Amino acid sequence: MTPPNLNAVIGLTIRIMPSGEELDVELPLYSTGKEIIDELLNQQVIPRNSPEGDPYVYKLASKSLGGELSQEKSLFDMNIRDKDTLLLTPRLVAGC
Amino acid sequence: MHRVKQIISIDPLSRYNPLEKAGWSLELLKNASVLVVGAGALGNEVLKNLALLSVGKIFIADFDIVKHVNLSKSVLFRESDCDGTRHKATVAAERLQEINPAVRIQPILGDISIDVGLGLIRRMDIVIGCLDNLLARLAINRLCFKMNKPWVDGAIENLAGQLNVFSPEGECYECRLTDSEWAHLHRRIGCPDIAIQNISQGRIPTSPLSASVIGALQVIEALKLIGSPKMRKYSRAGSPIYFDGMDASTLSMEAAPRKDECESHFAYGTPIEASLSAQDTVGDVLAWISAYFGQEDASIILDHEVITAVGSEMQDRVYDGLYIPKPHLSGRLKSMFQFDSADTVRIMPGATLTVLDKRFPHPEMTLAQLGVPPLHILQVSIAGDPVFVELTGDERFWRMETL
Repeated sequence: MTPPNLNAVIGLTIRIMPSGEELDVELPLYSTGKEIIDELLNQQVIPRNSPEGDPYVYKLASKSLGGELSQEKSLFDMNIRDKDTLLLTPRLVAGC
Repeated sequence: MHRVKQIISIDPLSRYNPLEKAGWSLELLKNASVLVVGAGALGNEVLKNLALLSVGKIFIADFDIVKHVNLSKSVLFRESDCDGTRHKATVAAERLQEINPAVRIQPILGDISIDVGLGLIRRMDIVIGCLDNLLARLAINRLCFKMNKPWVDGAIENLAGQLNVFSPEGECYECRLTDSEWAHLHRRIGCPDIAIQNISQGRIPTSPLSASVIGALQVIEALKLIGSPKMRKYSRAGSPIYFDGMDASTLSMEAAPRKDECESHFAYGTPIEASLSAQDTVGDVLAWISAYFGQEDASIILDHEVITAVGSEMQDRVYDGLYIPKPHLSGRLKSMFQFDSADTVRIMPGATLTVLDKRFPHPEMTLAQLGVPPLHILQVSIAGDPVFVELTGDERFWRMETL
């Protein structure tokens, strides 16, 4: 299979948990999970801390693959396809 | 007509037989001891399930009182409990007793970080965490790993939730903490101006719906480890789950790799059961240890610092000779001195101690006064060699004999 060119982009839906808010984004196919999370944090799309002040630790997961994605691998490496839905899940802290 | 008298015996556990048919051992459950830390939304669900399943001994640790905000997500609490005096652990224990009188329950009105002795953890088969902060989770992880016990962690927010099963031979909570989480924890632990007791402000939206799901999953995972040897292989230990209530799906998350340098990985050896208590004086305990080991050179190594002096910037004054356990510092200072709320109170340099030996100037102080909880396991150094001594005399404190 011929790898796509380095400038290829794919359209994804990112569901931001736990609110469930959905975000349609276009991302470079070679962006990694860490780069995506960092960019969302830098653009203040997602908060760095919970309302209680605890730092949020985010993970990316794929609905179609049913599990967490590596933060170091690119979307292409992880076989993420155009129009896939990714979940952005902070590590939860609350329980009371 | 001749009538035959038929004697029908009813097994008091018969209502739980369906569980046995599903492969669980009622005998194991009946003899199991479980500590549930946190009696909020998640804790209520976990506790209710444990009582319905007739788990033998249930310990409930929570220092908070029932408030109106708890009523919409806590099945065990009522409007009449919200008079500002009733502890969640006490109320939950009463309601569990109504649900199942066969279950033995002990409420613990305290903070897992400072009020629960290791000997209590040693007597548990499993610990279930239903908490709202990182610090308490870290405390449970260290306590459980020291005693080689697994623990099940749950967390919820909106319609989402997550589940982790940590065990000394598997995933470790402390190993997965990130730099930002450590920075947050160090700010909390290192700050003398606030109590380490981590009181939730209730700003995170939680619901009884995600609490029901995650609470049920937590109990299922606990049962796999304590209620059936056959079910152990299905444990999610090391395989965290994220529950997405929006479309009722679960995702498998990655376990964090273990780190070599991790404080949680320090496991205690088998302790010596001593007829000592946290109410005994430092002098008496040191004398007992010296006599038992036939060695004068004995010292107790505390798990926390004891603060001996603080300074007030506003009053330009040093208060010394205090001997306050650091975890209790904020509360004790507030009750002992009239510090202005704008004042900055600092621990004086070098005014901390963590070792109690024959040079300790107040042998008449009790271990409890220095922050040692009942039934704790003391780390003792005998001529430089580590040994572990349990304050087994405190079994009566937690009603261990009668439960």
